[in-house]
Amino acid sequence: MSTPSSSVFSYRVLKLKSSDGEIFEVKQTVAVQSGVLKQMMEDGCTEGEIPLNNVDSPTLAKIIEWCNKHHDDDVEGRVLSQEKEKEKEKADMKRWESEFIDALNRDELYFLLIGSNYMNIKELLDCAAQKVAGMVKGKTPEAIREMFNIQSDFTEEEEKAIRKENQWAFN
Amino acid sequence: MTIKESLLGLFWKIDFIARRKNHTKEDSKDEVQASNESMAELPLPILMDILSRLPVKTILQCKCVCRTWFNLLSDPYFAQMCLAREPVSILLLTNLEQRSICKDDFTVPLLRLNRIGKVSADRLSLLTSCNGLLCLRDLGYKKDEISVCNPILKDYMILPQLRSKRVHRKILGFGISQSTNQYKLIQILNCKDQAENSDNFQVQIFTLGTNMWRNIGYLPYKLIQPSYGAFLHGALHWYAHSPDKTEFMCSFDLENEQFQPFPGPPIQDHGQCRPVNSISVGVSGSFLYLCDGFLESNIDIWVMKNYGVKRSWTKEFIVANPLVSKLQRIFGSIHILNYGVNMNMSDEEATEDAELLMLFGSEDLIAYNVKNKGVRKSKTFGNKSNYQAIPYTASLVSIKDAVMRVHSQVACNIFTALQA
Repeated sequence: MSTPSSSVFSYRVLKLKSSDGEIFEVKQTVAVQSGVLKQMMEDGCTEGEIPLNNVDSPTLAKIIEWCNKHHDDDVEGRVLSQEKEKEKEKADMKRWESEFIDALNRDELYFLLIGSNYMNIKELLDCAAQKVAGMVKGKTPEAIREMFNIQSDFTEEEEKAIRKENQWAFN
Repeated sequence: MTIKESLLGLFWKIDFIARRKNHTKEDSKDEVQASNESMAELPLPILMDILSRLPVKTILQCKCVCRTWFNLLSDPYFAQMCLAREPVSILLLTNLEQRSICKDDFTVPLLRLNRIGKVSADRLSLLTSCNGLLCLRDLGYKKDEISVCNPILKDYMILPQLRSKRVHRKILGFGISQSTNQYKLIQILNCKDQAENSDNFQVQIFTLGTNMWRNIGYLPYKLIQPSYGAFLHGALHWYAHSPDKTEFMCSFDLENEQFQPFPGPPIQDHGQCRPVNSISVGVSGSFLYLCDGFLESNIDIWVMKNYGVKRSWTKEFIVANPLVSKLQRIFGSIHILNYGVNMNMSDEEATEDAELLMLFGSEDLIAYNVKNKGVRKSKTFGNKSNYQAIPYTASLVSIKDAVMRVHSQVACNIFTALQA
């Protein structure tokens, strides 16, 4: 089979189309972090624009920023000379990740959760979910309701009973 | 946790397909302009993922947020999701008041429990635990009651009594079988009038959800350490002597209910020549470890990096501290708490402040500095006679669910048998 060289080149880049119609070009080696895109590559159906109906352009830009930062780790055959260096790199990456996530506002975080879930990018989803968990931790039920915009549908007595039943056994 | 992972995968897929369908119809602009209350719109699988990362204590408080959350957080599947994420703590069973327990800056949380139901701490003996379920012995007058409980859910169950009063029993371990997910206890019996040097011990199994102990034959090994088998991947593990002396470790598979040899690290067994209490086996952060203190000057800590693979045993630490060696000789058992959890390194890789937390017997907690070989002793553990301590991971696993699962399996088996 002969393939024109231009088309070989185009296969190395995926064209992702955000829900608001913006096109993002992403290297295959980067895109492989998304379970969905990886599957599409394996099935050979990544030609043309790939519509991501659940991801708007600001979110997609964030997701690609994340993937670009992380894709180096996956390059095959890259051997780090020393264990120490590996540890240091890991720590640097952790710091970058928390800065990346901390900089997001609540809405951006929400769209990132939806987007990374939709595109099946496990590490990013983990990181974002951990961030939200951190925001919930230590909050009173009232504050949690406010955060998630939930109206309690328990009667006062019911709520009292649940609170009593679920009192922490340890003190 | 293969079941958990596959279920989770399934969840994502369903969710993904469902929302992809929705969004072909919806105007995507709507989402872009979502209001500040966006978090309210989170799909259930993502919400579950987020909440499962919270400490069990917070999850309990979250139950009164609303009905949807209450149901979500009471689901056995959710309890399974939380299991792997809850950090290990030390459970203190004690009558001491909270204020008389000294706090120190060790990284492991302490949970104090002073009674279970109506039974107070001084009457109970802590045996072992698995997935947040405690196995206890009630030491009340003329009693020999074994029970299982989840103190957080206030779930409690007393196991059937022994039929004969002429029999002694010893619990060997508690765990969950890997594919059928049944919680099982294993015990050995010997008659009171049996000759003392006889080692014919009848082995019995109790499955949570059934109503009796089952005989499964005689104990083929001389189990030496730990007292309660180290539970990992559906099996209990011991340092043990077999009649044929091929291996010095054995495991008991809770699925097929059989003892088998287990590959140990490349150390010399020394058999009878080994000093008492110079070896201990345990599990930390889903790694099996073995502490070899044959030489009094140091303890070699071996870790099995790949479960079941003999050559993956690695000597991770050489603990050279007289106090640690002394404590091992006194108590025999070393519970390592943080290896593979918030510490995953060997002697060479350790940073200056890397500490290995070790609980000796059920009494002494120390932090051993891997780099400078020094130790810090916990202040909490002052007055020894007043408490018992074991490593413990709080969970939302309910005994009722475990029992119901077995009941439905039994019903299902009967149904299939009837159909055949």
